[in-house]
Amino acid sequence: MLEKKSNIILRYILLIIIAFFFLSPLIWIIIQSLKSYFDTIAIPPKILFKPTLSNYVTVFAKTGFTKSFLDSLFVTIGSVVICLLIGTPFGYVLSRFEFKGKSDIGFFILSTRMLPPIVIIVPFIRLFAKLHLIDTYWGVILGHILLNIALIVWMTKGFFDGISKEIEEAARIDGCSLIKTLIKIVIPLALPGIISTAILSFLFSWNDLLFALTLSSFKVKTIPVFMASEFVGYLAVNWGALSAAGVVAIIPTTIFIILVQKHIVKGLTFGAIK
Amino acid sequence: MSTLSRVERRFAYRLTLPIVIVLFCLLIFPLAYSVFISTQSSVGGLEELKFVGLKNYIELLRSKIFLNSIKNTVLFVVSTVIITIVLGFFVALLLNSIKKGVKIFRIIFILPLAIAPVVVGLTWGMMLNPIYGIVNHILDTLNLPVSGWATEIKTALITIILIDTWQWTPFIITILYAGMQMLPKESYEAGKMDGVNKFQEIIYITIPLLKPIFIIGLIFRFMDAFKSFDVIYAITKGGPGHATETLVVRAYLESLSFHRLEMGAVIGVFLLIVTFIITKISLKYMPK
Repeated sequence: MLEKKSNIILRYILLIIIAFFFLSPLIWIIIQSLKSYFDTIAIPPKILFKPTLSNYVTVFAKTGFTKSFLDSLFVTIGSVVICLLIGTPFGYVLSRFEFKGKSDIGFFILSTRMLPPIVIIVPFIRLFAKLHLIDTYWGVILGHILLNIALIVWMTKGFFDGISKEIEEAARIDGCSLIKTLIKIVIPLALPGIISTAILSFLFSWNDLLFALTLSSFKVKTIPVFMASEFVGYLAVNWGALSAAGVVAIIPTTIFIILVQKHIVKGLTFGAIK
Repeated sequence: MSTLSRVERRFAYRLTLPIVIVLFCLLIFPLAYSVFISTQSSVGGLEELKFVGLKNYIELLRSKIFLNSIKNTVLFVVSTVIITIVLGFFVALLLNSIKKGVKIFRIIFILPLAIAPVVVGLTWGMMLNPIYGIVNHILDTLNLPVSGWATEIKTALITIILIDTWQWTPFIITILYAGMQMLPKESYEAGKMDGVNKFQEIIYITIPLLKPIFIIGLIFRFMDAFKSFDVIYAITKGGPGHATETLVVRAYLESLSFHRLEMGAVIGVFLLIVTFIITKISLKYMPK
């Protein structure tokens, strides 16, 4: 029964080294964001320096970062809300009803998760140009619907599966219509799960570069596009400001992933692992 | 589930209709249109497309740059999938063998999943910068050889693989650890009765029991590596030379940088076929 103490200590040492590997870029970006311009390009790199918030001031005051932050928020919330409106009902159908062709549609939706976005972006570029959707909120939102629809359908299906059918049947016997039962009984019960789903899809939409870069990037510029284009010049990179913007960009998603930690396995594997 | 009444069936159809319409407009129609574009030539401008049959396909198959992007994709996907799964399994085992501090380690190990790949790429780019970067500085202090990392043809792809490993090993750690928590205790007790050692326990009990989760991890890792774009774009944009040009990056460059949408569409059709095959295989092996 008694495990060797040295053995356990060795495990902790290994885990701490690995944890350091995973934390180091996050620590470094925070350090860089607090350095003055000359400290960021010092050779050798400085570990000790006089911290300053000037990069954060630069990011919010001088550049279009605030606008990008709002663009990102708008695109992300827009696409998540639309995805929930069309995806959650089908998640419910997948969980409750049986009809011909249902599972085909379900697997078809799952396969959108597998498709590399660039495949769909190529025709989008041309179609959206004709429809005047390039460089608009709607264009990016439509792209992000594809990014998240499979996650929303399959994750909400999992949460609906967890709600007992008897409650619904009781409501039906009391004379509730099907749609009323869904809206008044089932959705409120599944709400915590639906919120976790929304948070996780918020994260994927917020982080996406490819759709936003190809379907917009001038009038509409989400944070990832802003990060990839604004600070990286031909001659020099303003690392301090870049890092500060990066820190601001990752704060919401970092908080979110800790909030939905309990559901992360279900979410990342589309309910295949409970 | 019993057969549906007429009212129920109509209700189910109504809930299904919106998503079917949206996916038709956003997926089926554009994909069909993409196949059409791939048979056109845009030499006279995008407004004057000309039908050229399979000419673009032949041009692509003959191009060394395309074959190079296939090679890079295979190298990248195979290495990152293997490394993340092996490393992730090792960390999950370690995590499963300790008692105190599991919570804090678990949070640390999911954080990379939340970070925008662009930020990941730019941060690692900063750390691995050959002149100003902290990593080379540390290596130099320890008298170890320094590297040009993403700026050298020889090491660029390896650097991208390293960064991808950083971002996605946490996915494997998280799902495997969750799986280990649910393994039946009886199997291990039976093993102990038979006198198996720790190593045999992992090989003969843990791995076989976790097989479904390994399969899911493999499928998702494969697809995400195959789709990978953001990190490569943020750090090398496919360079230096064509050293980190994967199929996805090549399709992006053809359509957006060189304005040859038809070539992007041809690569797209190729990616579509691969995706279709992989999805079919995945569905067959996916535990349900």
